[in-house]
Amino acid sequence: MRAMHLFPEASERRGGYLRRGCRIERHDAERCKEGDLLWYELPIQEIPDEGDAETFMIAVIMMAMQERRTLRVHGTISRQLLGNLTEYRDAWCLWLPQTYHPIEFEVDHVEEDGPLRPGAVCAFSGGLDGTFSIWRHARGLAGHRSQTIVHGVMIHGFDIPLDDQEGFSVAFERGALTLRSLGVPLRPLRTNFREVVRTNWEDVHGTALVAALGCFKASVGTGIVGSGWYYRNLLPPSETERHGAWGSNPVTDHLLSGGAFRILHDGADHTRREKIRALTAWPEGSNNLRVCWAGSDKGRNCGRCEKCVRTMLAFRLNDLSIPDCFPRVAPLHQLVREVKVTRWWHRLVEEADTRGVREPWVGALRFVLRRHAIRRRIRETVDILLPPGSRRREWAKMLAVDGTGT
Amino acid sequence: MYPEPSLRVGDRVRRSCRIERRTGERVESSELLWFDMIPDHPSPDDNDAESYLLATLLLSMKEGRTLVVHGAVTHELASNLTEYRDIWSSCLAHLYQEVDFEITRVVEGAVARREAICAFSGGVDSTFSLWSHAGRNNGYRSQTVTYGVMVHGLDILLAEERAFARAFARAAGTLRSMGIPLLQVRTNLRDLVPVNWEHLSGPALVASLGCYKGLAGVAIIGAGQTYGSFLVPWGTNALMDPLLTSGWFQVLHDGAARSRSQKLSAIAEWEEGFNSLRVCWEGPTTDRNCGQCEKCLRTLLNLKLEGLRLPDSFPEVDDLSPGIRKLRLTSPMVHAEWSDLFAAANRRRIREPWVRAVRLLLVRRAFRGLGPQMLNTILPPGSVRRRRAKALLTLGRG
Repeated sequence: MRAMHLFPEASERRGGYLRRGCRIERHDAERCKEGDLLWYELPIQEIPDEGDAETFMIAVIMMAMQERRTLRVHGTISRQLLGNLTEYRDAWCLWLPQTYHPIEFEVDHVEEDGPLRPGAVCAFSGGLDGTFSIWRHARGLAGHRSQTIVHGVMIHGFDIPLDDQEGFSVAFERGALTLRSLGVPLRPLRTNFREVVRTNWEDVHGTALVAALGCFKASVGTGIVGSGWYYRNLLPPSETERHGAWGSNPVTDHLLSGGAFRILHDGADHTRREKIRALTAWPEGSNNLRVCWAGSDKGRNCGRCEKCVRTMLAFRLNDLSIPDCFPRVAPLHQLVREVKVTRWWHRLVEEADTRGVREPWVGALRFVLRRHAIRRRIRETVDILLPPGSRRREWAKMLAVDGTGT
Repeated sequence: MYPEPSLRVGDRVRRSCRIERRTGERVESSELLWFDMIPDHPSPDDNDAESYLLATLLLSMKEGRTLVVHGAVTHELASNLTEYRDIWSSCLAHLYQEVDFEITRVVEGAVARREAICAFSGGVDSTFSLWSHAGRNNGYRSQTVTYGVMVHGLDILLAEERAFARAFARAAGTLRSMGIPLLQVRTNLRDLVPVNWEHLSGPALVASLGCYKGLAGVAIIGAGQTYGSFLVPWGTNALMDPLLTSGWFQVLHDGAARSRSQKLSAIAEWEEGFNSLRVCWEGPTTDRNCGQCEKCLRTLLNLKLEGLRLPDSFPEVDDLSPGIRKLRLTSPMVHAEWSDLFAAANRRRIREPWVRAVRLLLVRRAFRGLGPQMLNTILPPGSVRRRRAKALLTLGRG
């Protein structure tokens, strides 16, 4: 039987950090391959939850599904998390059946669900979504859903690689300064997750984030993940660019909740523009945004990638000047032509039309989106007339190959 | 909303709540929302207002009224409904406004019972969910289902008493084969809450099932849409149903990882469940399958695709193509289902006349929306170009 075994190890002190580790062994029938060590390093003042293996199970579930291995956990998992991960597994198998496979879970100790501790921890990288979520919860602007945020967490080892210490220090100092204005402390967390879990980051970043937040569950009962989605853009997943599969999303994030630690996917009721407008009440938040993960300097925004451009446009839609944290590398209308847009960018044009924005980038974006829509329409029509997998499509392909003379 | 004490009405126990619409101090209307349940089962506390809040949230959003609940609601439900409200108001702002809700007693630290009840209409989704949980086919997610619950007053209206009695008798017989008793709830919810049923169906079902939270802490709702093609916002789906969970009553949206064809294949192993399937809600009688409506035809094609025999509850239809040709796919959700069917038929190289009829149906739909879509691309709504075109048109008409 192909299996992946998880052996949580005792916490140990490393400099100013406390390391929690887990040995991952791959077994093929009787043969055991050499194991990796997945670790998380928390600030020394945090209390680790020693017997708990939930963090590690969440961290590796996608990798086990990809490798088609039974996941065997030599530790304690709550009944709630096991039930939720069963559904999480099934959703991903349906979304990407070529990549992820239904696997079994075997767990040494199943724990009954306990009461949740008060207080929440929020993932914070300096990006718009995390900044907005911390702001609205710290100010109690989410009504009955508002949480008491005990601290934010910035993770070293995700978008900023472990060996880029300087980039992380710059981002962390800026983030800590931003949150200080709300009276919320920021804690660092280091992990070698991306070196051990070699699964597509776009699929796995949701579980990666939640596993990291779970390291703090001995002191808080809720983890907040700022949403990069907008509810109106969820129509229907089969029509989205990649079958709706994206690591962190409002449909499956809550399925990463355990008996003592639940996950709130937060902020999908606001567009990017609305989030920026809300943050005008918090200048420290909006002036210190770090949204970029594509640039070479991970501590700063590149001002050229899709996410940087989209965020800068959202400022202009609110008739706000673009803050200094975004370098001006080229005029906006030129940047719009260079980035790879998705179909959701049409909301930016709609909002520009509604708000009467008449800047050159609106025309450039309209042109790019029209081209994108026509291509998509042609693809859809071809799929109806020559359905994938049909004989007719095969003939058409053969004809096309003959026509090119190859 | 003012919850009232439970009382005995005939052979049932009635839980009710007075709903007053107020503008300032003036009371504009006062109505009684009720749920009748079978006696001799523990019913929720009279002060428990969760079912009433679930039932009326969309109505208050439609009317733009602050919802003031003079009763007890768990903090978990209040928190979840805040997000639920935000989904509706951000997606359909022209229909639903973002209203506040004020609750006189918010209950912290509530604990739900471990047992589960399953909403059961006799359709493919609920039959599959009940079957898979009773057989513990869902691994660690499997629930101990102690009762099925059928609601009178939702898909079968209160006036259709005979149709409900027939559907209930057949469903009770089906569940008896699994050793699971079937309970019923009657409610006037649809008479009192004039909200689009496609939006209201999820909260209405959970509100009704909540009457039995003294018996169970988990409600299983069979998914009608898969994770691959569900619509937001919609009355019930994998994103929104979990947000109807309270501290006392967890809502489990179940089976969204299985297609309708896969569900039918699974149910085929349960003879009583398979033969009693009731999927039709458009036919002349709501307790039988007409074999002609969109859902009946879709189910018949699912059966053909899986190579399954016809269940006893379906009439024999020789040629499905004429029925398919008459259909119009208005809802995106239904369109996604038919697209999946067509794709599956092509993958399996099926060459029957119905495949051509389905292709025609999909092509017709693809081209129907093309005109307005092209117009919107050339003259985007709200743009100066569109305003000028409108002005020119008006000028041209004199």
